[in-house]
Amino acid sequence: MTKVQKTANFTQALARLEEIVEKLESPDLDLEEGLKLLEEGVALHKLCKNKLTAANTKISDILKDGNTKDGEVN
Amino acid sequence: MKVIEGKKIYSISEVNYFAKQTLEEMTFWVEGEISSFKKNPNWNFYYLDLKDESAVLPCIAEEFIVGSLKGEIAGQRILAYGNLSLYEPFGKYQFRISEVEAAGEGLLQRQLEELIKKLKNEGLFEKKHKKNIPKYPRKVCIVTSVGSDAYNDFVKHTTYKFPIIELYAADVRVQGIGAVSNLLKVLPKADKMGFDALVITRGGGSIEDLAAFNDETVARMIFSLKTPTVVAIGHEANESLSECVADVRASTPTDAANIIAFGYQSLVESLDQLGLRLKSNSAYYFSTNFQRLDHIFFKLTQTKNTFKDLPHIINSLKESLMRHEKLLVSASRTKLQELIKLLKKNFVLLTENKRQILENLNKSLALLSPQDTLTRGYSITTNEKGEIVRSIKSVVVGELVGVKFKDGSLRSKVVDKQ
Repeated sequence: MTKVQKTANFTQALARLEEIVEKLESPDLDLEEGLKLLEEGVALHKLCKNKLTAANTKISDILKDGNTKDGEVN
Repeated sequence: MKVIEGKKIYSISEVNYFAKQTLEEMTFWVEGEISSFKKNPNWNFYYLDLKDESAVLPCIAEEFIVGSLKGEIAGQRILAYGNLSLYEPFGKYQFRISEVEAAGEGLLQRQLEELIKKLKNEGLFEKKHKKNIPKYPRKVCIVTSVGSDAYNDFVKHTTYKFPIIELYAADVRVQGIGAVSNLLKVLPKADKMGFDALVITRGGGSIEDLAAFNDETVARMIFSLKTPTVVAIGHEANESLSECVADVRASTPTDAANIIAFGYQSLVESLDQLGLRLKSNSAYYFSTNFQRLDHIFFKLTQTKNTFKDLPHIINSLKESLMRHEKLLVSASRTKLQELIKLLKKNFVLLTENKRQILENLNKSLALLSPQDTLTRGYSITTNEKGEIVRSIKSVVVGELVGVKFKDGSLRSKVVDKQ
């Protein structure tokens, strides 16, 4: 089983997360395996959400900055 | 004509007739302003009044003459060619126009048109001579009267909006005496200064005001410029010779400014567009991904559903295990009992069997014992050594032998043998 990689990029993490969800929905899932997957999933979810929130804030800031200089070229 | 008392007396008709004859011999050009004109209601000709500061000349002209005049007819200054004539019934004379040309502004306009035609025929307006204005000009020189509306409009729409445009101004006289020579001196200088574009402009005005820009030498000078040149003279309606030879013609100073700033303007617009797209795309990206994550989180919380049946399964497994255990135990017990029963039975059978075998053996044994044999009438012969004689061969005639019976023995002598 793979460990949550802090370095994983958002798309990879999201893909892994969806894989985990799919596995967790499998009816013949082993309990220990399920627990491990759940743990990894929750950690990945947190990672993804943090990354996304950070990116969103940054983009909003950038776009806000862009607007104040509207119509001027230097 | 009649002669009365030595006097030659003419009739009115005769006078007017003679006058008409004389007048009609006079053909000439006359210049004047059309002060009024109206069509004859019955015939295809017009009545016109030509005037100058102090007098009026009544004229008549056919329709094609009036039709050849451009623009507003009343108030136009014209050159008219024709002859004087006299309308005999009224004795009124008039000028019969047979040819007409524009004078004043009209004349200038005609001269301009001719000049435009001439330069056009020389190929000066051809597309192959037109240089492109750089998309992003950095150093631009405006040739105009500094401080004029034209200048202010241009600055407002170029360097004020896009400070990246470095604007230089060559202050020139744009009308009146000296304008032409001024332009002829300044333009070649500006051409050598390495500008990305030259803009020659001035606001609108009368044709006399714009004369310098309709000057042939100025036009040829503009044509010879190596720097890409925009010319904007006057308003939309005016067409000047300078504009025709320019690389790009603009209708007004503002229009010229927009042409110069076009690249930057589109850049800003496309940047704005990109910004908007960036905004909406990122909004879309984030909302979908947040939703996706929320959905995933919901699914993660649902994991317990995957295992919700486990306790139940375990319970039922346990129950089934217990049930099986019971069955197993009771089955084993029965089997054991059966086995024991069987064992007992078999043991009885076995002992009985063995007992019979033993009995039979005993019987056989009894049958085979020498005592029994003797009982049944047999006897045993022994030699003198006491050995059992088993064959006649070991018996010698005359020998003494013992014979044993059931109930005693005897000694006898062998008399004969066969």
